[in-house]
Amino acid sequence: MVSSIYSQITYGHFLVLAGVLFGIGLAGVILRRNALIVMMSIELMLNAANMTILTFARMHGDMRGHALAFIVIAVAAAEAAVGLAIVVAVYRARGHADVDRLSTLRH
Amino acid sequence: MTDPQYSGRCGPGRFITALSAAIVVSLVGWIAPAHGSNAPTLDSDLIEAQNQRELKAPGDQTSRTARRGDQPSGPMQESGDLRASGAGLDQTGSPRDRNVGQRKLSETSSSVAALFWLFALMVVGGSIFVITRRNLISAVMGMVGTFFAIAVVYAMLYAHFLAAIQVLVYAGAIMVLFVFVIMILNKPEAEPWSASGLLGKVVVLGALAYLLARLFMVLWGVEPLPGSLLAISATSDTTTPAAPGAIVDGADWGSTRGVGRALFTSYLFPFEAVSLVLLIAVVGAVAVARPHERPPVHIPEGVPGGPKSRQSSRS
Repeated sequence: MVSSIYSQITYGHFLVLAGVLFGIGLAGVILRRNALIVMMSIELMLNAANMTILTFARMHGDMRGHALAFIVIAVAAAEAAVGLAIVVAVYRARGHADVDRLSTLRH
Repeated sequence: MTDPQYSGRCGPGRFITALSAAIVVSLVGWIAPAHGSNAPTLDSDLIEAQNQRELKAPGDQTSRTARRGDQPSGPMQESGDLRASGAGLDQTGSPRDRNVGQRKLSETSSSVAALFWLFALMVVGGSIFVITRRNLISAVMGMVGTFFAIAVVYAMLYAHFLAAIQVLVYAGAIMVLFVFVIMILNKPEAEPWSASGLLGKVVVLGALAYLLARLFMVLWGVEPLPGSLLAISATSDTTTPAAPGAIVDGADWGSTRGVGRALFTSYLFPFEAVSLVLLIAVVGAVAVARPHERPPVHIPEGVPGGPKSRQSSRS
């Protein structure tokens, strides 16, 4: 029974992998102070969500999950662009990009 | 660079990226013909897992034992049982392909499982690598390797087009954006970890452990739908009503044509909305990241464009 967990790959494996990836991204968001690492962790969490969407799409045999994952990737690209622009603006204004020291929108 | 923080510290990230890229390139040529020609090997695994989970799935202990006792097919690992349900679920349908699938099952199930574990390990290890680096370039390199491994996981889920998009958009475009910004903000951080003090560490780790435990509890409880593991055409025809965007042809599943058909029929409006979102994001990024202009200089009165003349012209 234990060996079948390792040798038989089910959808639960993919879901748990996505859950682990989401948890690591969440840990990065919570634990790190650098805004760029936090944004990379957000990208990891988005990828975990995408992996879950694709797993359920395969499980249900529905191609529309792929369209949803495509839209998620496009929105993630837009989010990365805007977020990195904000990081650059914050760094220019304050000289650091430490999310623990950012408490106000203006200075 | 003279800063010791940024000198020669990104070795592991480059190693992960190079290793994952090499593995991806070598594996695509090995997986793709097996998928295109005959019964997919991963699906054989999934059929067998479905057989096992179908017997374990329903309800409480009593109904499970009753169902298992009523099963006439004997041990669930038996190949006859597998062939029976595999024939019902097979998407190609011809006996020759089923035989090929049966033959491939004994050969490649362990290797497919090994591939899954390899890339799952690369995903988890790469992401842990990302969130533990102090050098940001090293973190980005580990991120690229993680994205390659995630793309392979997508390909294992038969999302070929999205695997390619993952490599192109994430490992290509977004990571290049990150590298640019890191080059702009070239400053080592003094204190990388947010949780300071014993109490903070305990609280943060406790919260993370609780969240992960709940996540695992939810995810282990997910049962695959009975009978819809492989037969996309069968499920779309019988159980699920075939939506306009849903692909009923198994050969198109996950391909560019399938994703495009879903995007341009039933998801046309979100697709166009995403294009608008991207346009607004580009404009917003330029507007936000532009260097601050100097405060407006005082324009003396009487000059065209000054405050007084504008006011007078308006009135």
